[in-house]
Amino acid sequence: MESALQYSNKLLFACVILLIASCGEKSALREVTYFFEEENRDWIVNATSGDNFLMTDSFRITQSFQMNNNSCYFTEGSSGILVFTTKRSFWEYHYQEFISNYGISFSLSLTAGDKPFGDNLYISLANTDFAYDLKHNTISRISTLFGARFKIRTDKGYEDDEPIYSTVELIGSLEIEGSVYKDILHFSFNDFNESWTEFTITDIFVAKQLGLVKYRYNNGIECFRK
Amino acid sequence: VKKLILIAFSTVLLYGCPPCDPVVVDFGPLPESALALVPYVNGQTYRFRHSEGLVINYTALRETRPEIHASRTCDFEHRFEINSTKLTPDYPVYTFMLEVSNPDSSHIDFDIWLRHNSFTLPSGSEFSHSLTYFDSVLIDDKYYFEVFRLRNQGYHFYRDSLTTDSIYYNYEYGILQINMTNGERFTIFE
Repeated sequence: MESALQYSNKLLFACVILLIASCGEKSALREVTYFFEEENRDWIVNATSGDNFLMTDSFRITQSFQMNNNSCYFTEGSSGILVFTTKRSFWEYHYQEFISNYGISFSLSLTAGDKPFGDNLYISLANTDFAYDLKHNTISRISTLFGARFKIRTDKGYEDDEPIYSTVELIGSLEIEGSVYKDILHFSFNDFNESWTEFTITDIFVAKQLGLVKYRYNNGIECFRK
Repeated sequence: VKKLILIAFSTVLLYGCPPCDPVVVDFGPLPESALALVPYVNGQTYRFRHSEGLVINYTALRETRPEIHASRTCDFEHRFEINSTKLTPDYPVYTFMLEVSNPDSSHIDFDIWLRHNSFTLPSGSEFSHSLTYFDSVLIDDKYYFEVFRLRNQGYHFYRDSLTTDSIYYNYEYGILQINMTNGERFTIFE
């Protein structure tokens, strides 16, 4: 009789645990939502789907980049102890993609950061991709056809796994073909150099609110906003 | 009883999945006359000049592959060939794709693709409203004969986007000229 009672108690306890664990996803002890820093919102291009901009290259060949994706939402994640969800997190996220009439793809995304990290700006142009932490002013990842390098994220910040030689410089203004563009991010690609081809993109210039304003190929040919 | 159930179940199962036995129609290999619609030779290089002066080299990759179109209801299966030509540039602009196929016995399909813009060329006597025929066209001081101009019928769906307006083609030289909507051109450069 006593063992039956003990058995039913254990069963009841297991059921309660199972019940709590099964609805843990929606019953986290804490919910946190991370938003972009206000000054970083300007990196999002001020355009809507279907909008386009023109660029011309050193040989005066023009191409049109048209926006075909402009989506913003909150990405979701959860953490916990054993089977219990103790924290649910939401990160503000915005993704934009443009494709040129000659098939060159340019995309930009902004992801809200959580401490100790800052908002993450991810830029991709024709398979040259990099992620830039706007708080720490550091490239956290590069990803190209020739390989990828990234910094390890820890509770204290970034740790170098292997050095990233590419750089980002923030420029106040830049003159291109007689037009002055403000608040420029200049990415200079300097990794996997031994694998580069003639048309590897080595420099990318992105302006706040406008997006791509200039890029340069390894052979020196430039393409700039018209 | 078990045997009876098994037999009944097997019968239903077999009856429910009749083997697909379509009528197979094989249109055979593409005739030489169809292959002659495209003048490009596999492995050769062709040149085009942009209206601002840059000369771009295109390398041709041409191959024929078998294709099967089967009906969903398992009624028929058409076997034919596709001959595709890909002209790859040495500069980041359009890659040209040309495809000739014989999907049925009545006609030959012939399409040119510049990214998402497609142009259908006449392979027989049929003409579409987007196509104009010229006895001759003067391009860079040279006359080309029996030329088709094909207009892009799709670009107005894309707001103000720069794209292809029209292309000029003849069966002897292939693509003669590509006109962009902003006035820029890519012209055959011999």
